[in-house]
Amino acid sequence: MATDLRAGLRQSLKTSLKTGLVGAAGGVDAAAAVYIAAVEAADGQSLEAGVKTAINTFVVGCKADGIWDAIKASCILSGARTLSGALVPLKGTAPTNNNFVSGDYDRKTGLVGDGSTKYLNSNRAANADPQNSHHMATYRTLASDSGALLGNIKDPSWDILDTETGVLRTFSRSQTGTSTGITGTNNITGFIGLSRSSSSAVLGRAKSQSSSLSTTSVTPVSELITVFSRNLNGIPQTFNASRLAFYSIGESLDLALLDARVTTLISAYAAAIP
Amino acid sequence: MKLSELIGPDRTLPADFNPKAHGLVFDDTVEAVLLSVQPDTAKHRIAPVQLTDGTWATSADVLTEATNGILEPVFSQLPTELAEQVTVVDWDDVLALLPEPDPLKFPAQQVS
Repeated sequence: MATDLRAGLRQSLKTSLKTGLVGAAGGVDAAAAVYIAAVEAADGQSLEAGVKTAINTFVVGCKADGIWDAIKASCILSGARTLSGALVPLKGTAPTNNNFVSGDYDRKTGLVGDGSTKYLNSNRAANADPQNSHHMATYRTLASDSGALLGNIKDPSWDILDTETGVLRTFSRSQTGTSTGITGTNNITGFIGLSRSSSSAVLGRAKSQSSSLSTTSVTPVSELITVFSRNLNGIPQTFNASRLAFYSIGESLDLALLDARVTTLISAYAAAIP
Repeated sequence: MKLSELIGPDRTLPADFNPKAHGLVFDDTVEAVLLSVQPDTAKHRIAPVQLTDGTWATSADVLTEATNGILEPVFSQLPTELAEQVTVVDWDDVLALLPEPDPLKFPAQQVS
């Protein structure tokens, strides 16, 4: 079984490189090629040329922007032909799927939660990134404000991203300072994220706006961060019914740059997927 | 209705059954068996939630993956007779017994 998978991956990688479907101008990026091959192996068939190009453009762009290395655990929850393909990690450890089924997945718009039982375990520990270098981000295509988008809620260091009260709420290594000041986030779609690059403040981004919030960090906990919910002692809670097309977790980065890259990627998918 | 009355021996669902409108409810014994057949390394898992009455539940849409689907490795290890211990209910009945969604009190809004 494992041999078959490896052989399929090798063949898929060869095909992607040989056809030159990606990176027409500068050739295919090695990381993009590995990701594309892994998705195709999981899907059991090739991706469209336009989807491959969009992936390559995204990876090359993130590298050019200097944000690629800060992304430590990420899945593009769209583009792939199957749910298994969508859960292939772009970077880091693969997430564990809890209760999602194929019917929850749409290639253009992503994976939809049910607000009660479905979540991904990112398998990324909150303390895998430094106390004062941390980000969590997602791209939402269908909004639900109830529940967390990503997070852990183990005391004394919460990491939570949500829009539960109609404002962007960002906890990063902190239990204080909920709102970034970005209001009117009820039912918003698009990029939503937070980034902490100092001990005294966290930056939030939603509605194409960034806003800084003063909030002191504490030592992060080892709790794993979940997506579509927040984790407490291994038990997810406050599930979210949004549809998400992307998530990433890692060290601090420029949220505006990641926003631009992810937004372009999802738009390119919409154009490339029949 | 018991799950054993709903699905055939090959784990197929009736064409007129709407899986997302239903839940599967079971006790600790079934939950333990379900968890025991899922290794920690499994990429796709059935993770039941505990309801306020102590029983466990999952959406019935997991049944759509039972045959040749992503959850086939789980279902293939479950004893067929286990279906007799699982009750199929309306999803609204499950929602009514979900735990309090947000038990923690957040600090007051603080805008910089």
